[in-house]
Amino acid sequence: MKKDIEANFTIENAKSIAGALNKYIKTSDNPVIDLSVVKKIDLSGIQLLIAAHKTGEKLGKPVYFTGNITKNIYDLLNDNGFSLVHLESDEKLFTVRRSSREF
Amino acid sequence: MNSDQFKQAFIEESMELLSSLESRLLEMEEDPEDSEKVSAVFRIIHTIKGSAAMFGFNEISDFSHHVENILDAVRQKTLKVSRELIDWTLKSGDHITAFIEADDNIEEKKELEKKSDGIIESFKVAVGMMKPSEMTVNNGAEASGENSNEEEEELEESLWRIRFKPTEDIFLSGTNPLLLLSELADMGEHLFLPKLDEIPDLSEMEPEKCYTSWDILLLTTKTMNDIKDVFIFVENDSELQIVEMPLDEFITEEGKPPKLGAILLNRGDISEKALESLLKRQKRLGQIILENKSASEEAVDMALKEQSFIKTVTEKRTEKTTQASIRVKSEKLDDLVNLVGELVTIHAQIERHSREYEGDMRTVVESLGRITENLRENTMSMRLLPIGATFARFKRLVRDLSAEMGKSINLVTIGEETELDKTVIEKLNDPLVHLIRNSIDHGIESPEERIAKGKTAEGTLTLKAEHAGASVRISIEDDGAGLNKKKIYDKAVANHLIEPDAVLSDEELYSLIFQPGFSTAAKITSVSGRGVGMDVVRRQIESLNGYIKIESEEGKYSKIILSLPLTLAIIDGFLVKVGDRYFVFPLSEVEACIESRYIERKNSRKKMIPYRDSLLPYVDLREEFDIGGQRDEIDQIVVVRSENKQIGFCVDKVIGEHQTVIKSLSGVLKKAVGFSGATILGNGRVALIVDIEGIIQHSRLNEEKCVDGK
Repeated sequence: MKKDIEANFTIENAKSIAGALNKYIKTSDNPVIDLSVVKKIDLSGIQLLIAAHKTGEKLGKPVYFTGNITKNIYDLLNDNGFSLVHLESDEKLFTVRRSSREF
Repeated sequence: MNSDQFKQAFIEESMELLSSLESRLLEMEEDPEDSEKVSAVFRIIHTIKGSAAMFGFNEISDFSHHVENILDAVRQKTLKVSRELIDWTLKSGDHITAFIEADDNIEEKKELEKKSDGIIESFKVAVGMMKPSEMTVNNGAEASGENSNEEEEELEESLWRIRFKPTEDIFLSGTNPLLLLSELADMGEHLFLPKLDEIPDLSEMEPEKCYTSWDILLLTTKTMNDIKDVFIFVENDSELQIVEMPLDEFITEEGKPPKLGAILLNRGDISEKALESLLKRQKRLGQIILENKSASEEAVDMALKEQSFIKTVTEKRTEKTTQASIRVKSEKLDDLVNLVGELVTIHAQIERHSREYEGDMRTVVESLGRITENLRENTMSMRLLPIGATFARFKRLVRDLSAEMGKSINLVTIGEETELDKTVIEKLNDPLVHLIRNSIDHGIESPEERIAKGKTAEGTLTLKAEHAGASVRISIEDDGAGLNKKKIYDKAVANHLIEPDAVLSDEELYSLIFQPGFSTAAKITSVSGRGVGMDVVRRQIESLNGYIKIESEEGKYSKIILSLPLTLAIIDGFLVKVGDRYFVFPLSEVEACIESRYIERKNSRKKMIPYRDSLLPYVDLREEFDIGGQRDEIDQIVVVRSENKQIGFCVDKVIGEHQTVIKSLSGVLKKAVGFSGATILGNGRVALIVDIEGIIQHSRLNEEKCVDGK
């Protein structure tokens, strides 16, 4: 089961998104969060993605993201030191980490 | 380096820059929208200005400063690239050159300084930066207005480490930390390392709190205060640490990235004591630290990324400071070539003596031979320069001359990368200038004439350089009127150079224009037509052991081909013996060796022998040079190819390949026909180096004399 989340992954919606994600990860066996609908993200949103990943680690079930994210969001993550890391076996699934790009 | 050496280095560097200024300007004129080309021109003047000020050439620095201001307006797109701008920048370049050439002549410098203001004012008027009525200088105001800009460019870059931990409530104040980062990003090259270990999992998280902090590396010309200004509204609530990194310390270990331990220590992530004890182990430090839990995985990861960033930054800076090449006085290079020449000769002597020995001695001499040959090739390659720089100089010549003559000419250059000996290149300039002037003046017609003839209004002049064996062929071709055979013939008859009924091939006819005083130009212009050019050109090319040839088709084109030796110092030769004399042929021109029985040839009137299904003309060197002694029954014929002609040379004995150090012939021997130089052999004997074209000509004349019964 995939979890769709809100279009604005920003501070205004941070609380509700956090609650929904936490509930979804806890109840899902293979949590996959679809970011296709995300149009806007800020630092609080990025923190939520990292926190979701950590939640999965804590519960022993890896949390992955999926969906085509917009170029704006990709650039915002990249410009601020974050990057999308794809799951080796599946190009569609990725996680968000500190950027590993070489300078 | 003493001050004179610095001064000399400045002069050399500036002359090089000024020479590239011309070609850069012409490129900029061709493509005025390309900001990189505009910047390249700006940088040249900027560098000259800076260096001149550093070495005390204030008059050059002041003048360049004003030129730089004008070019800066072009760079800022407030001034357009125009013909006037190019013209006046070229003139300014000439003015700077005159300053440099005036050197210590104070009187001359004063004169030039008087002209400086006038040139700048005229420049500004020409490009519309000043009205003619305003032609009084107010340098003070102008200079102060530009200073800040200039200082910024000369500022050094520093590497800063910024640790930024926003207050937890930063989101609630409406501040977006990512915008602050974006401001920093605009300041220069950067690395943002977000620290994520304080972000909890969702069950423990307060989503409206900020848990992220950053370690930031920023390479910028900005100051500490500029950086602090970015954080001015969050400074009080956030943790902010800005430290300048000792980048120069990282550079001292050339080529090596900064050590991970040094970075962790510098970041305060590990204690010196812990680091020391861990370094004693023989594992990768990162691994040991993690195993030992001396620093967190995140700290090591961030330090590794920092290491990679610093490595890139230091490499870039090292590239800037390390010279990719060193400047050596050409005299030193000439000395080196002479010494290598001596070594080649000595090696030949050793090799000769070593023939008496067996075993190790022979092996050692063979090794010495290989090293000598490598050394020779390396040294010679150091003297080779691409001809592109010479070609580039002609762009301006063509541009100025065509404007003067009211012609429209496009200069095409091909083979700029072709390399030639430095000496050959230096001596080639004048002949090429003559030939290009001739093409522009006599060759290419005026636009009206060209249109009337059904050609494009714009003429094309093509300069081409290419390798052809051990020679380089340079051609100057124009699509102009071509050579008028009848005019040349009539003029030659009038000048008593040929008989009125003489029958000449095209090649022979064209070669008449190399006779002294020969000019068919109807009128003498400042460019050419005085008849002093072509004979001088031929002499200059011949003095380089080269030769010159003309191809043309009336009404369509004329093409002057110069064939020049790749080098004037050492060649691979082919050594032969006739009687007790030695001769060397350039090996690159030797095609084959065959045997021939004298008895079969001696009664034949024509000097021809059968060779590969055809007849090969040959020159008998014994007869040609009147060498005495007993002839063997079987002669050796060395078959050479020169300028698409095959010819044989009859010799007694073929000795083989020989590294030939060319010594020029001087004194009475200088005018000897058929030899381009001499070389000293291992046995101390002198061998003459055969000039194949020369011998062919000489032999042909002898034959004609014989046929004429003279």
